[in-house]
Amino acid sequence: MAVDGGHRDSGCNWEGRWNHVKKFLERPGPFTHPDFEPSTESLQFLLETCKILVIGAGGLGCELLKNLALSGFRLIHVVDMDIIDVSNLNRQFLFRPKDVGRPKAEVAADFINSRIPGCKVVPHFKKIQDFDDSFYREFHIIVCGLDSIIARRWMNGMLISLLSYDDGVLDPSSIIPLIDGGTEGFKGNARVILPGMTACIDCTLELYPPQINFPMCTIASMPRLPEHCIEYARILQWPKENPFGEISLDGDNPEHIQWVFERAQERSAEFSITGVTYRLTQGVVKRIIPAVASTNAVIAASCATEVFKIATSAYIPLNNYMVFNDVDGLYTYTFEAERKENCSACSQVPQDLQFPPSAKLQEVLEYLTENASLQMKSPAITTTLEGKNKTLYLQSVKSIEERTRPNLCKTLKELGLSDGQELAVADVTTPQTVLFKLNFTN
Amino acid sequence: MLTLASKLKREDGGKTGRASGASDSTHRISIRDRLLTKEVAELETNLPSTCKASFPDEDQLHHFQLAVSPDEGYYQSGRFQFEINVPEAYNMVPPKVRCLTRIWHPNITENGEICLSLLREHSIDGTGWAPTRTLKDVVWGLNSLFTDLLNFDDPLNIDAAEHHLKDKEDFRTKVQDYIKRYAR
Repeated sequence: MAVDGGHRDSGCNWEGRWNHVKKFLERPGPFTHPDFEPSTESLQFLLETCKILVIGAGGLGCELLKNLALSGFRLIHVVDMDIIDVSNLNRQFLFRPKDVGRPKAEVAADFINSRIPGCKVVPHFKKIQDFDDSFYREFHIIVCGLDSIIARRWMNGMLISLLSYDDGVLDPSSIIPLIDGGTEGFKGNARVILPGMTACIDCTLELYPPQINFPMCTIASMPRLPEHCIEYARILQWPKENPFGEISLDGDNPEHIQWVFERAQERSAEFSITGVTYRLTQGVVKRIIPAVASTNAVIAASCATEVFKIATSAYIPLNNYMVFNDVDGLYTYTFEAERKENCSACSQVPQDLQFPPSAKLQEVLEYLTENASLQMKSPAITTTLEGKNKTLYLQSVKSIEERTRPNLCKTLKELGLSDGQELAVADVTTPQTVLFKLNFTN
Repeated sequence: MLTLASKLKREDGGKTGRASGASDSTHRISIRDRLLTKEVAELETNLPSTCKASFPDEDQLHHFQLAVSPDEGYYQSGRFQFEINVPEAYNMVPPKVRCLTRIWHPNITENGEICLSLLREHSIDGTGWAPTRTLKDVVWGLNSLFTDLLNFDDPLNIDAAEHHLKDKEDFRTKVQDYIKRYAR
């Protein structure tokens, strides 16, 4: 169903359809990038070539897809591993009650594709970790509307691993900009990350607030918050008393919630704690983090604007971290997050190690200890094969040294190492693990 | 420089596949594994004299056992085994630790669950897990559960704590009894 006039026969670009975008791209203006030249090429690029990946089809994802599709982006992929829950429907507006239980990515793609003629959103009902670098390499820009720090770090690490260097100089065409948005209640942030150039997710890890998790000893003996009382009922009393028989607690069953609520009230009275309500009980049991539609709208709009700016090079992108808070009044602030010197994700450009595949591991070890600029004492060397760690040699733990000593006499090829293999090396002389990249010579 | 990058990509008309050999995700060393290479290499030199670490699989640096043999206090002469598992999300999250030896202790249940603030992801008072902490801190923390972190006031095993409150000598006897039966 296309509300915009149903001119599907005229090839999806009816007269005046993109006037709003042309105003930004086909004429000069006071806020454009100094190098900007008005032309019709930018719009064509958006419509026909620019490939965007949207990660997450939830609160931020729905807004992002809408914004991008209406701005002219047509080649969009969306990844989300979740299915639709009834509690999503108040703000994830691409979904309807009939869609509950279906994968978010698929329903979102269907909605956008039928609502906005010409737009081709490709859904992926998968985890981001299910794809490898050949998938991510295909995109010009990646936008995230994720709900976990772990996923952000993974994405961050993936894009950093795609960077290529020529003689220590970063190749700009290997950079895939990452626009990251996050919201929690009335607070949100949007940031622009150019892997290898600007601060990455790990550089600013301390900015994330600690995640709520209640310790068992507090729940068991010293509750202080209404949430502790609810968790006590949920974790300890329910399995002990089995009020409805041997079934587990169902967050969607009002009778179950009522039972937990009453037990929690009793406990809170014992410890003079206020604040236990039916609603809070539901929230704690179902692990609900309150979401506000307007915050998602603001942050997604900011992110989509950055995607537009970077894709068209018409405006100076956000530099580089914006915070937003409308708990009381309205507050926003933008600053330039700096790269962390010893960032575990992006501060190291793997150093080259040149060896023929027939070289023995012993030779690599000798290089690490004898090379004048390294002069390591007893380096530990590990790598990753088939997604799992392999300890090549580790001298400082006796039991591991004995078991890995045979590897010293094996060739790099025999050990399963290939050209471009990443090696992690740790030694008393290095404050952190140092990364090397194997470069096979002949 | 950013505009140049975008222009270059646009001229490509898409992405030219870069031959990169082994740089796919199966070969990328995760942050956890990078950290473990360093922390395990340093482990033995930083152990307290009462602790010993053992690795059942030399390729699984994220899974090992720690044996603690306290040389003072109530738990003297016992040998307590802990199992340590370092999750994928390390070091944003703490290692998961279980006590494999049955013990009568206010902060360790008889099923092996441990109450140690260092191992907690979120703590209001700042003594919980932080990415600045390492395996060395975890080992020292576990060791301290038998000395200065032995805490009867904020117990996980409430029965053990109350036992100590009621009758210290009887508590000591039970601790030694458990050691004789399970911690040799």
